[in-house]
Amino acid sequence: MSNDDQLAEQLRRMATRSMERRAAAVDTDAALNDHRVRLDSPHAPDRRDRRWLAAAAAVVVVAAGITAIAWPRDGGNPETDARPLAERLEALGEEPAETLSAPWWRGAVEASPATHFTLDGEEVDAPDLFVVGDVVAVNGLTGFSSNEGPLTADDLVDFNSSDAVIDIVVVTIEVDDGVAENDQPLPDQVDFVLGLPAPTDLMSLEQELSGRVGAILFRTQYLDQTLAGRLDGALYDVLDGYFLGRVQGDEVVFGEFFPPSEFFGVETVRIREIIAGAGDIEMVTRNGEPTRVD
Amino acid sequence: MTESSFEECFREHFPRLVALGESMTGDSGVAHEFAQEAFIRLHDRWDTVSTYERPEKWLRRVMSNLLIDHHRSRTAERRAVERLANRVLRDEVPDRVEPGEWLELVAVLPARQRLIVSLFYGCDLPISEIFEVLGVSENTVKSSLSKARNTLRAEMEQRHVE
Repeated sequence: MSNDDQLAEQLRRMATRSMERRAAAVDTDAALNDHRVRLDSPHAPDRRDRRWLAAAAAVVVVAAGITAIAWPRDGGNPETDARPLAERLEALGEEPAETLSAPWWRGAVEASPATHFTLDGEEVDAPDLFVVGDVVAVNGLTGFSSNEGPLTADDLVDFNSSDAVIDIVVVTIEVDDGVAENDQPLPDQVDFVLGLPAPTDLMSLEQELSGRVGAILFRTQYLDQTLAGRLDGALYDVLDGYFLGRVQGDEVVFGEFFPPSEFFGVETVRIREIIAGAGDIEMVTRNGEPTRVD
Repeated sequence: MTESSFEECFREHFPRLVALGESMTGDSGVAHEFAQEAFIRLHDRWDTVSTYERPEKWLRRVMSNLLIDHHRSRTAERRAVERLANRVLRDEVPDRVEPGEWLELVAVLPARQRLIVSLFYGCDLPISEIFEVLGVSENTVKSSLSKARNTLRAEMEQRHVE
């Protein structure tokens, strides 16, 4: 028997034994009773009646942690989704990460690339860019045919095609102000992505985003890998799916483009303060979790 | 709907789904919850799914998707931590396993690889069925399986040395 065969046999033995033991430990009678109780619960009819397709279907689009529920389609209706961005994202069930809650950055100033976090004395990564500028283009990049499971190149379909469940849109900002991590020079233009329910209406999105915006961004690796060879340059994603806001005077209003959540409200922050960052913030590991030292 | 056949199906496959869930999450409570959810969905579609040659295949697919979704939501919470901390945290470590056990061993694998090796070795599914269950390409399954095997081999060798 080869080494590979021996390994396979050993793995099979371990796996089978473990799963058999765990299956045997299940109290099937109790589980069946529990199942019947659930069927009789008042929530059960809602589950059967709802029109949403693919319940709990989820997808991480561009590593943004977006949980997606397929946009209900009406028998192949070709109409595109022209709702406000917040409603489109809400339809995707996007929930921003909880990084605004303690102990992580508490607002845009702390999330700035100019803020220096240390963890157990070591400098740690910051978001890549805070940029301010005009939205100069909104283009469809690709679609994904799947809304479940980790997406791969196999799931790629044309943007707005009938097979697309999720569309990836690229928003281009002509940068005129901001700050980059480690004082790197700012790019002239930045492309960042949004994952939206397909089929996407680009014109309404472009109208909504037109004008001057501010965004805290990080470089996304996910699409770079998935779309290898199809991208011209770097692609960015909005930090926590939240830090994109309209510029009003010398301030950015974060939150208006996104569905309300218990973690993210509308936050108005001066551009200069974000560029300056929050200085040094120290974190230490306590009980296995990074914790702020305030 | 034939309640007796549904119950039969429940009794036969519920424990296996729980075992699969535990191999992925290391958490019996989470595994039970997702297995229940899978059977609630099966109940809603029993008239159709019961006509399938192998309804358990449908169940495994639902369960796998629930597990991947669960992993994803956990990942979303961890993503910023990883970036901030500039280091990759260990991937969703099962919390109630004995050293040397299968669950502890596969905890070193990324989520999808963990699910694939559990389906392949634990549920004895052929590759052709795994890629149908997970809705990914055959090459993805083969490649994930190969990577997982290499990782597990290295892990086992290291433990043997230690």
